[in-house]
Amino acid sequence: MKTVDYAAFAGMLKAAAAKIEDSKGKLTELDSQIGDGDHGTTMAKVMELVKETVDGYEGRDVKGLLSKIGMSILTVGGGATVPLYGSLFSGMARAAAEGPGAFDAPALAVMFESGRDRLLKFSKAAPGDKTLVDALVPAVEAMAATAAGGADAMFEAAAEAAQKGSDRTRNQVARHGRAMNLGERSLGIPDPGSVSMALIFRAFADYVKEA
Amino acid sequence: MKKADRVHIVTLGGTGHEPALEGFVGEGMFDIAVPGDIFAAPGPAPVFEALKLAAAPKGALLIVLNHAGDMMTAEMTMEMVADAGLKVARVNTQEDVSNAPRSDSGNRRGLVGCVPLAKIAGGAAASGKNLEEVRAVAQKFADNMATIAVAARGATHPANGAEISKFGDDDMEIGMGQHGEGGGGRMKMKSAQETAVIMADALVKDLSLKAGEKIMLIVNGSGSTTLMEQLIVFKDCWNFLKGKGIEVVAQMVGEVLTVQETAGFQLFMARMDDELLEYWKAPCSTPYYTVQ
Repeated sequence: MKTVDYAAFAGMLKAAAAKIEDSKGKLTELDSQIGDGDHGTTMAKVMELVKETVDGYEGRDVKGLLSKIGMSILTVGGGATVPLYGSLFSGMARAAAEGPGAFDAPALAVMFESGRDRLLKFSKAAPGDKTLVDALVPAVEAMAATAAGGADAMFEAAAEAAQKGSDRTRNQVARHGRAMNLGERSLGIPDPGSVSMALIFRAFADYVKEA
Repeated sequence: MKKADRVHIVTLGGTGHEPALEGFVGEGMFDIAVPGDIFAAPGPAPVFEALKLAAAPKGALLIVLNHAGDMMTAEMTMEMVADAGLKVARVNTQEDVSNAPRSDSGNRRGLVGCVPLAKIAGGAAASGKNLEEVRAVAQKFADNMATIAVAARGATHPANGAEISKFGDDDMEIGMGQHGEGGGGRMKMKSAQETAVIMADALVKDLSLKAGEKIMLIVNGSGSTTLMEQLIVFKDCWNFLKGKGIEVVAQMVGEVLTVQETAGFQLFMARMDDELLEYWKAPCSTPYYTVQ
């Protein structure tokens, strides 16, 4: 798939929600080693809301859908995950063109850059702090770098970059979020937020490849 | 919420810490506490709704505990508040001495201090002070408080059963977070008195307390430390402070902000002056704290 239309975009989001639901137990187990043990349930709740919003959305435009997802996430309780994903989706919505048209890869890359920027505004975490930023930032950079090759190649590059970024968090000492309080003891465990972010990009890539 | 012709006090935060925060909603403390999920902040949307209710006519003070989720929700909410032109001021609580030095208080977690802060801010609001004055009183108290926690057994997450922090049978840790995230030093179990002195000394040093100063002292049980044990710790701290010529003029002992079945307690001190003491002693009526 070289471009992504509304149906495909909705399909990507639902594929990501399904992947997170399947990984709920693993994420929770990881988070109980390094955080307070709720990352799996929180991510599953947020992504279930994404899926429900997609199912209930009557428009056929990506901008409106993303904006609605961003707003609905902000209504639930989920700690840092809620403002982070709320700002990611609402930031993407800001850069999405109006109307029912399909998006080519460069337009998608711009959309994700806008989401990343809004998320970074609130997270205040920098790459290397052992947070989801360590998966998101390289993924979005990979998108910009590979957009010329079409959506399928671009999302594959993003998924690989997100996974590599998440893997690198194993060797990082947390400098942000709750795991920060563990200091050196956070070494050896990947950041759960980066793991779930990498899973989402993997789901996007697999969906776009198969669709 | 019963609306009064004064500044209103609002907070937000995850649940699982009962009676905090909701147990202190009532006359003279919090007007609204917006609950999140267990150990997780609420989203910005309900906090914005709460502030819309609370900001008229005299403005609202938003008290935010320094935890990543709470702070991000607050940042986003304050953006919405600014767009809507609401009159809202904000004070952060960042008093955990164990995870950053005072010079880097932006990295200090908010622990039990939010509760006495609500009492003092509520007292100032009830006295008729305007929003800026209430904020200034609250900020003065926040700047002069310090907390340190100890635990010998962590909590399990009530929703998913995940065990947060694992301890050996004979281990304890000074400097636990609010949710049982580790933070300070692990050590072999010490007696209550030794533990109390280590912790009290850390707070006295952090606040640079001198002989002749007046303070508030709180021993906050974290969930499965008995009241008798909390009172023993209180006595040991009191004696330690007396030896240094520091006078305890305000106190609380009991479960104020818990972390499920965590075994341990938080020790809190704050430097007091006549103004802060007046608002601390002002009447209040909430389910878990009343002053008549």
